Amino acid sequence: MPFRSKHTPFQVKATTFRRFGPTLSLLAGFLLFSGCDDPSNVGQGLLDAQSGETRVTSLLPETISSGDRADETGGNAGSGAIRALAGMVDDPVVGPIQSTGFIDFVPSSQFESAFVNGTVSWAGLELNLDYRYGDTTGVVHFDLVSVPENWLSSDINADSDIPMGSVVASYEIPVSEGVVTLPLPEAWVNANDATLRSATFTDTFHGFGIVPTGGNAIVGFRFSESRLRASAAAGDTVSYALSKVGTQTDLSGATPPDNHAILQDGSPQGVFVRFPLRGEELEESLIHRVIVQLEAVDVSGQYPESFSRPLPGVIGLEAVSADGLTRLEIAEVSINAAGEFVIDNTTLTNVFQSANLGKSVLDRFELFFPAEQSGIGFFAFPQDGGNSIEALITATSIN
Amino acid sequence: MKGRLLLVAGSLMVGILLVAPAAAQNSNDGTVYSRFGLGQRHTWLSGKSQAMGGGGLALSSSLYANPENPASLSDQILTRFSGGLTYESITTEADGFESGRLASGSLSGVQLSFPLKSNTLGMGLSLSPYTRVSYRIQDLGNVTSMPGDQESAAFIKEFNGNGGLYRLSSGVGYRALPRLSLGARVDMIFGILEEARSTLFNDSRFVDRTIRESTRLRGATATLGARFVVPGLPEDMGLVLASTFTLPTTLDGERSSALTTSVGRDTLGTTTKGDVSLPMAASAGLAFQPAQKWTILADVTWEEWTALESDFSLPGVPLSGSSNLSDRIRVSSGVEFWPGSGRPFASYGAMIAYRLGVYSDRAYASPLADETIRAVGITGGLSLPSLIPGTTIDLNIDVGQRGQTGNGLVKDRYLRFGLNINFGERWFDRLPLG
Repeated sequence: MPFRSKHTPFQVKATTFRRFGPTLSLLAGFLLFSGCDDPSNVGQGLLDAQSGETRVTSLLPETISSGDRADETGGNAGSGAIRALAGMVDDPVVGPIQSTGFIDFVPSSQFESAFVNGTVSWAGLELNLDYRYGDTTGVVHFDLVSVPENWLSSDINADSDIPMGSVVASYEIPVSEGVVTLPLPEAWVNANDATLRSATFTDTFHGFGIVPTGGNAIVGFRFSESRLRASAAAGDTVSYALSKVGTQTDLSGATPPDNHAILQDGSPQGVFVRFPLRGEELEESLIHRVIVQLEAVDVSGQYPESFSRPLPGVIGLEAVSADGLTRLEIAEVSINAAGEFVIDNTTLTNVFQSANLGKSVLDRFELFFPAEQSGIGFFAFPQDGGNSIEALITATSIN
Repeated sequence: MKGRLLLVAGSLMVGILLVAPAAAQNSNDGTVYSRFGLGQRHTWLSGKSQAMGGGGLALSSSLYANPENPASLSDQILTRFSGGLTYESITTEADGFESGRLASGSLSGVQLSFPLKSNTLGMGLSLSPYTRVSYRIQDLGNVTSMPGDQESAAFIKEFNGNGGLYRLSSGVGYRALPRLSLGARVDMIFGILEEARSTLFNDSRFVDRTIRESTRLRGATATLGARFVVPGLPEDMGLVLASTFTLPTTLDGERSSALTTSVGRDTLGTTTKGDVSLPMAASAGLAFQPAQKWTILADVTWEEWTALESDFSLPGVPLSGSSNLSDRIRVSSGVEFWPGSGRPFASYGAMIAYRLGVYSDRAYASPLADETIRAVGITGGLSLPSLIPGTTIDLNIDVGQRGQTGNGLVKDRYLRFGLNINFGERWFDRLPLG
């Protein structure tokens, strides 16, 4: 005979609750209120043998070298270099440096019909000289050369080759700051009359090259207050704003000091730094913070008093693969009160971490100057010994 | 039927309540000793045996399946499903440290068993933890990242582990003779052991890092069991002897490491493959009924962990040099008093079974070569019958301590609560003709 409950369904429900309810409620209540915990360091002693210590390691580069990295020297009113450099200087530390500048213009406004229908009788350049590197007591000599082909400022680096045409005129200007007026020869004005008045001026005129021929200084002409001016009749003068600049720098005659890597603004060379990120000096680690400090050698004592030598105030660091195709900009930092550049950010930490664990294509770090500085100053870093470049790594050893 | 549904719903609710507080915390708040070897060894025979010291190899009844000894699967009348959850609170202390408190919840196991021929041939399936890794230790530190910097950054160094091996078993038991049952069981053993080490800063200049190492293992083994009812005892008295033997086996494994930060996870290196051997084990037990209301158990288990070999470096088991392994020996004893045994119409209070037990468990792995870690505990529990025949709720408690505070070791004082649900009813029965 099958077992049958003597209870009705309602009684079953009530009885079940009555019998299990208090016990289950007690249990549930206990569990809910006992669910707090307080993990501690008890047991740490059993793990010490397997755990790494978190500490700061000073890591010096295994190599600091000069390498091919042409500085970006082209710019327009919105981005890139802010001035064109021109001149030649015999630097007491790094030897001869020669810079050729390029400038191009666009009409500042729409021409009036009187100008368009007239004949240009005069034209000249007004260039705002705001940068001087070298002997500030002398003059610079240069040829103004026509540029026959269009060029893009974004393509211009310190080693770019921009074709140049015939010499328009030669000038000599003092190495002093301010706006320099350079009248253009009548022959050039006559030859370019139609171009200057044309609605397609921007497409048909490609600017000038400023080729140094003498002097002991490099000067820089910046966008603001620099222009090309032309007159069709007395009192009817139009203005062409400086629209793009570029600089080509020749260091072929330079004689940098031995055992030093030179990081020079506006030059075709950069400084490559390689840290020993895997191996005995930095074992596999959890890297929490990396600070790279750079302090250049002080060479100021080697320059005469009349030698102006403005130094860049901002330096950049980039992580680069061996083939140079993969690049990651880490930071651009300003010099601090102690004369050091200190790079300290998460990107740098993560790059070190990936390289330390063999998970990146990092080959080197490249130092560079941001294009906006547009100077020719340099820093020298000793290649053998010293701690002019140092990485301070806060890390926990994995093994 | 409604009562049964109510019971299931209530049980589920309590199960959720049981797991919720633990889940709200970390799943790795267990003993630091679980870090060593393949984790802390776990055994779960049934809700009944859990309250009687954790043994019960010779147990066999129509109310509980006992897949741990496949021979006992022969004694089944009802199809039975049972499962359990355990909530554990640990107070841990060591010389020179402030004590800490940890809590976690875990699955004790689930079982399904059914008769193929009533009281003669039966089968059982079960899933239960074989080992469990569950620990979390935090330590505070300071670091000054620039020379001359007056400010230092505080950090938390956290070690934690979780995971473990599970055992999925399928066994058959057959009553070969009226007093002798034999059984065999195949065990699939699988799981992931995960260890992590984190350094965490409350300072945005520093990047938090965690390195995780996962070891995935899988393999199979087999267990043979026998159960013998000793003849010649007076009526109302019974003695059952039982034993099992588990074959050694080798688990296939692969290990990988990953670095994690707040923004992602990066696999490190290549996955390495290797083997880990599991030892043979032998167990013996007896169940003695001096009277119908009383059941007394005694069990001993031996596992030859000193034979363990691993291609992976494990805490306490280095690839070379001496390991910190011992053979595991677990001894337990328990007693059950069931006033209503054999009285189907007794009062509800009389139908409750009361259980007590003690056990001693020498762990197979230790942090130190010359120290063994032993756990001793007292268990107790109630078995609450329901109105549904063959269905009970078993509430258990286990109070014990593990390890010691000397020699740099840690002493855990733990309190475990177990909730076990045990359903049974007739399935697959043909309706009688006529």
